[in-house]
Amino acid sequence: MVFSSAVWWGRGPSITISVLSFLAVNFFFTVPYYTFVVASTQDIITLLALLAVAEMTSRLAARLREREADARRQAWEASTLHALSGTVSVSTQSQEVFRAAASRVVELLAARECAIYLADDAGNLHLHTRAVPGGPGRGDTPAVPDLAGRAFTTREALEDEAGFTLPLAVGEKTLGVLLVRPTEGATRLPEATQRLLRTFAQQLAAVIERLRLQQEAAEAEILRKTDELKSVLLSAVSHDLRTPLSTIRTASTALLQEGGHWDEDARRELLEMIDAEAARLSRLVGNLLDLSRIEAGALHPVKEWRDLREVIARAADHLHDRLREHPVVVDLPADLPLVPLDFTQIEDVLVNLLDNSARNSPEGTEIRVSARRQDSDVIVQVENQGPPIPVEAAARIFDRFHTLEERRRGMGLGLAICNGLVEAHGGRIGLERPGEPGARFAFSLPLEEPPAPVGERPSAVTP
Amino acid sequence: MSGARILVVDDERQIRRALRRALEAHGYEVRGVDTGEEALAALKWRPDVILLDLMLPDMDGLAVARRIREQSGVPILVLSVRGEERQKVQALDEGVDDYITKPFGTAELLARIRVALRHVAQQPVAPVVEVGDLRVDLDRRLVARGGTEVHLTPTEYEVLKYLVHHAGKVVTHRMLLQQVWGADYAAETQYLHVFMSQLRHKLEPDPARPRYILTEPGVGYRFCAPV
Repeated sequence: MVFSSAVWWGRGPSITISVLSFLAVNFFFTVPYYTFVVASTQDIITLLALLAVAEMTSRLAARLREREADARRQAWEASTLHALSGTVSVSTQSQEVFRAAASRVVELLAARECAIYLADDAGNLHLHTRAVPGGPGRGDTPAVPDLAGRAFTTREALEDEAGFTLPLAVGEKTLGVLLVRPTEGATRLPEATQRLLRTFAQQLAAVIERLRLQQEAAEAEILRKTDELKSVLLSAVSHDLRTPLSTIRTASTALLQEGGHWDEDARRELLEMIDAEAARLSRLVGNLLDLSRIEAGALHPVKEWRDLREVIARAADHLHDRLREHPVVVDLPADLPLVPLDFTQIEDVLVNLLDNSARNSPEGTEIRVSARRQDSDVIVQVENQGPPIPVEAAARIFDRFHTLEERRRGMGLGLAICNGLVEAHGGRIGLERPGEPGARFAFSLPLEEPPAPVGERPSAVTP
Repeated sequence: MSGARILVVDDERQIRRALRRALEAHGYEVRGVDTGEEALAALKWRPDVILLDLMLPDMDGLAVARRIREQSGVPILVLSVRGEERQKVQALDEGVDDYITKPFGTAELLARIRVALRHVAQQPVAPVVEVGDLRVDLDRRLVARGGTEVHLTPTEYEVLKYLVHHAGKVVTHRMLLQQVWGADYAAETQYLHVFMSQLRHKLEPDPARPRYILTEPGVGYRFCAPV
């Protein structure tokens, strides 16, 4: 009994039990019975023996219990750390990781608050993420606590009534501070928790550094792409501009050249050429303007409900000269609804698609323009009888990065602009059945306007 | 040379039409095609000069030029744009005769065509060439400016002779270096520029604005064709 009490309850209770059992033995089993008189030295020895057993056993048991508690704490530390590490290693792609980590700290350590402060380039701390029990911290952003500032400059773990702070450091660099406020009533965080947070802070710092490097790499990539875009655009533009210029220059200098023999037909043809190519140049300049607006994200379609028939006819008239060798067949169902669109922009799309088709199909073949309603979209198709566009090129012909080497003549800028204009309308453009003879471009225009994003000017809608 | 046949290889219909009109007005017979394959097939028509765009839809213009050369020595004039210097030089080194940069004027084109036709006619280079105040007597190895003899080093003379032999046509750096210095020096363009500078100082009234030996940036030199 003394033994088991020592094992279960510790030293104090087991000594009490040993005294009680001595008294009980003395009362019931020793002479004189039923009295508490200690009659013999033997009784004293019994009592002392009992006490010794109680003492020894309880010490042993206490050590056992401590070890068990240690083991349990270590297990808790390990599992908590594991849980925390999980938050920072699983989704290290985004800033979301900090929110998850802070909430997890609050949850697992039953903390009152967990906040992550990060330093900017100038070395000033700013609150990045804050979590309190039951979700992310809301309300006013509290000022950076003094303690956090000190932990940041001294690079040491600090503690006061405000909470416990740890610097987030990688190598020589201090990136920020982790602040944890213990539960109400508890003045300081237990040693084990502090130890755990130190390890966690190291992991967190590594993640912050990695994210920063990723961001830098992404920015460098954007710069590289922008440079690439510029050079591709420049070569595409110079080719596209120079071609009509060449024709104009050849035709005009031919007319000016002395010694030539001109009949009226030849002279007229050259003049018409100059006129047509000047119109083409003007279209190209328009395209460049569109492109710069697309690039700047400044393309806001002003949508009106319009009859596609009219837009198609205008585009075809616009390209009159270019379409001389290509009859345009327009096939629209009688019940095709009006479509909300920006007239000039969709006309530009059609001009580019028709121009592209005229350029890339044999003279004398027809170009077919059709449209149909499909669910809440109107699909417009422009189909020519030119050679097939290879499947592997199909995805790239609308790409601004499509390089000059790969691009067939005239397939660079125009299609990229179509893509930008259709997307600005909330539609999509693509090449149907690539690899088959007769390229068929198709783009969709949504009939129901999606809710206008905040800050965009309201569309002028005339039903 | 009226009536000479000119084959225009360019996939831009408008340019073909304009060239046809411009050249026909000067008595040439013109045929236009828009692909490399058609250009090769049109060799049967026996053109006297081929105007060849380097960017064709079906095959590389350089490859077309090479295949034309396998079958015929017809002069090839490349229609190119600025920025294609590397391709131009390669084309010239591989046997293309000349190039003209778009957009070009009709007068310039007609002049280039005349030079090409004269070279193909294998008219012997006149023993004495006179341009402006410059007189080159190839028989007697005498060079004079404004009646005064100019003393040239043997290398300077060789450079000048090669240019005069190809008067009116562009000569690439490589061609000049190989001809005058030998194959081992084909890449030593610095040599050439140094000699050219000396030569111009001796021959040109204003070496900064050369009239006789013209620079074709990134490509080579051209000796002004005698009028």
